[in-house]
Amino acid sequence: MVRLSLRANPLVILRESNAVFREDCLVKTSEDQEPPKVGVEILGRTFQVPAGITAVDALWLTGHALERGVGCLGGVCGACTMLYTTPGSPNFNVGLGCRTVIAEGMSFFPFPQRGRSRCRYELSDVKDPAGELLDHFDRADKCRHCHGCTNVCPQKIQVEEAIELTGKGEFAKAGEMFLPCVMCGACMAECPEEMEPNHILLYARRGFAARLAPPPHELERMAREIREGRFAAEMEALIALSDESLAARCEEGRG
Amino acid sequence: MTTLRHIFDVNAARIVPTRESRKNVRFSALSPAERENLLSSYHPDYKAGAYREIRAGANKGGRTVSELADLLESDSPLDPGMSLVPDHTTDLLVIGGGGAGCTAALIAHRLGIRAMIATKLRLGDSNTVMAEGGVQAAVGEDDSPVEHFKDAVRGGHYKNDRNLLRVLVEDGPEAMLWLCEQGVLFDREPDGRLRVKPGGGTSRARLLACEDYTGLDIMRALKESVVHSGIPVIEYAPAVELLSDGEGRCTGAVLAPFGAGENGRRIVVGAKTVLLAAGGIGRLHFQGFPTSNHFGATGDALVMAYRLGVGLVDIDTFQYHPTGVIYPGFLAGALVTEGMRSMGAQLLNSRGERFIDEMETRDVVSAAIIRECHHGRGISTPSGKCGVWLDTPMIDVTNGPGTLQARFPNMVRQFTRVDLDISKQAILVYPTLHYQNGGIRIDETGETSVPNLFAAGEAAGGIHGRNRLMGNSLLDVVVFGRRAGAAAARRSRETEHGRLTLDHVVRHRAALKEAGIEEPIVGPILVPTYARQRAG
Repeated sequence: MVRLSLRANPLVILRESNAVFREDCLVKTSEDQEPPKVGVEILGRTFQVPAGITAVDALWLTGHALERGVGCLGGVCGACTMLYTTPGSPNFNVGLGCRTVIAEGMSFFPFPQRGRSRCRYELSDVKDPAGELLDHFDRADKCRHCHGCTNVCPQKIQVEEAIELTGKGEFAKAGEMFLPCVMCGACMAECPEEMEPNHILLYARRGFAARLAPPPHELERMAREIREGRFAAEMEALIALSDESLAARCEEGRG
Repeated sequence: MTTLRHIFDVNAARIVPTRESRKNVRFSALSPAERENLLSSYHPDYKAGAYREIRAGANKGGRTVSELADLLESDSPLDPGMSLVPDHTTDLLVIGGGGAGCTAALIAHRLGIRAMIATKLRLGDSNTVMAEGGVQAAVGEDDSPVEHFKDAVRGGHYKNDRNLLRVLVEDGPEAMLWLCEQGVLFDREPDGRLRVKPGGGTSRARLLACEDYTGLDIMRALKESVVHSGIPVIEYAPAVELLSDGEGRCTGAVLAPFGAGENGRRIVVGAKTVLLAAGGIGRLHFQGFPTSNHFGATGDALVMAYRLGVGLVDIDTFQYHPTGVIYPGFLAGALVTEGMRSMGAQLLNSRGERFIDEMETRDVVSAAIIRECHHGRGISTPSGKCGVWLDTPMIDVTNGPGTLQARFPNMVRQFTRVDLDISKQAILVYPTLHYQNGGIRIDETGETSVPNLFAAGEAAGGIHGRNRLMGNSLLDVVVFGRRAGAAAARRSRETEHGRLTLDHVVRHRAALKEAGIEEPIVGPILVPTYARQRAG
C-alpha cells in the first residue's frame, strides 16, 4: 500500500506545473534560471533558501510543519500571520506569511494563534449597536492611544482611529475602514488594555450592516415577489423546455 | 532578476498607446458553435489524455481526471474493526467550517437542534473567505430569477440540474437578506440602493459585493455568529470516513486530528444527521495547473461520500479561472477577480491585441487564453511560464482615476506588497484551477441518496452544469447551506441515533479488489501531496 507523504513541497508542483505548457513558452535567460539564495533565520536556525519566495514557502522548504499556520494562501485568512525582523531595524513586524517575500537576514517565526474573543453578543438581539457597545465590549473605551494596534496590523488598517470612531458612534466609517481585516488577532495580542480591537470593529461593521445601513429594499421586494409566485409559471415553462428550445430561449438577444 | 515591471516595459509600446481607443469597445461575441469549437480545442476538460475511466463504485464506467479517479479508488486509512465508541454525540455533524458549513450549523442551531462543526483547519479557513468578486442575486427592476436561471443554464452548457438551479435562483434574494441579518454589508450606491455589477456570462448586473473582499466579509460574519452561538467546533480535525448503521443510513463520522500520527487518536462522532460541506479539489492540481484554492481543498467530501455509495455528478468538468496570476512566482495561482474585467480591464496577447470578449463565461475565456499561448502569442516569464496581459489600468481609463483603488483595494494591496502599481501597469495571467463544477449528487433539500447524509456548497454538484458563473458559488453555499441545515434539523427531530459501523469500508475494499485495483493510494489525502510523483 502506498502511503502518500503528508509533507508538501509547493515548489515541486510549481515546477511540475510549468512542464505542462512549457512548449508554449519562449525565452529564458540563464541568470533567471537559478535564483540567488538568501540567508534567513527561522525559529533561531539559519537556512539558505531561494530569493523571491514567501515565508510560507521557506517554512515548507526547510521541513517545518504545515497543517497549522497555513490557510487560504491568498492573503485573506490570517492563518499564516508571522512575526519577523529585518536587518538594521530593532522592531518586530507582523506580516502574512503567504504574502511576505523573504529577504536576506530576515528572521521570523509563526505568530501564536490567539484565543477567541471574551465577549459574546447575539447580533439579532442587538437593537442599538452604538448605544450597546460597552454592554458587549466592556473595555471598548479604554484606549490609551499607544498606536500598538495600528502599528502591528498586517493589512495597514488605521485600527486605533477606527476604534476612536466606533466610540463616537461613527459605525459606518469604522466598518468601512475595517473591511480588509483578516482577523489575525495581532491587534488583540498587542493591546495593553485587552480591548480586542478587531472584534470591536467587526461588531461595528455587523451592527451597521444589520441595523443602521439603508435596508435592502430591492432584496425584500424580490424575495416577496418570489414567495408570492410571480415568476412560478414562467419558471416552470422554462424548466419544461427541451434542451434545444431552452438553448434557443437563452441565446436570444445575445451577440 | 527580471521583474514583471521589466517585462511590461518591454511590451508597453504595444499596450499603453492604444488604451484610449480600446475604451468601452466590446470585442465581438462568439456564436454558440464558435464557443463550443474553442472549448473542445483548448479547454483542459477536453484534454483526453488527462482523463481515465473509474473502475469501481457508483460512478464505475464514468470518466474523470486521473488524479481524482485515483482518489475515488483509494483505500480507507481506517481498520473497520476499530473501536467505534463515540467520543461525541450530536444531532447534526457538519464536516467543514466554511461558508456552507457555518450557514447550515447556524440554521440548525436556531431551529433548536444540537449542531457540531468539525473542520480540517480553523473555523472559516475555506474557499469562501477568498471569494472576491461578489454574489449573484436578482435585484434589478429589469431582472428576475428567470433571467438569472437563463444566464446560469446557458453558462452551464444546459447540463445543470434544472430543479437545483431553480432553487438557487429562487432562494437567492431571501438568502442574501439572511446574510444582511448576519451583518454582511453589501456595497451601496450613494442613494442607499444596493450596488450591482455585471459578471461574465450575465445578461444583467446582479452581483452584490463588498468591494473585492466579498467572501471575507461573509465568512467573518458567519464565523463570529457560530462562535457567539456556542456551537461546538473541533478544529484541525479532518473527517476521514463516514459511519453508517449497516442498513444504508449515515450515522456519524471518524475524525483524524492533525498531530495524532498515523495510528494516533481518532475522534468518533455519532450523529443523527451528517452534512458534508468540506469544499472542493483545487489542491489536487489536476493536469499540473496551479490553483486559487485554499490549502485544505483536497476533495475529501467526494471521497467519503463515494465510499458510502453516493453517486457523483459532473466530476469530469472543472473550472479553470481565466485570470490567475503567473508572475511573480509566489503569487502563482492567486486570483485576479473577474470583477476587474467587468469594470473594463481587458485581455491582450503579446501583440497587444485583444482576442476574446472579456465578459464571456469563464471556460470560454480560459480556453481563449490557452489558445493564444499555444500559438506563440503569449508572454513568457523568466520562470518559464506563459500568459497574457490583463490590462488593469483600463479600469481607471474607463471609469476615471482612482476607481481601481476604490473598488479593488484587495487586489491593489496584494501587488503593492511587491511594489507593483497595477493602476499603471498590466499584469500577467493564465488560467488557474478554481472550482469543481460537479460534486455529490443531492436533491432540493441537500440530501444525498444515502438517508441522513446531506451535502452543500462546492462539495455538492449538479447546480452549475459544466461551468459555473461568477457569483453563483457564494450564492450556492448560502442557499444550499440554509436548505441542508433546515432539512437536517427536521430529520434529526424524527430520527434516533443509529449503530456505528464501518461496514461500507469492507464493501469498498471488496469492490476495489474485484476491479483489480491492487495498490490503491490511501485517501482522503487531507493536505496537498505536492511531492507526489505521477506516472507517465
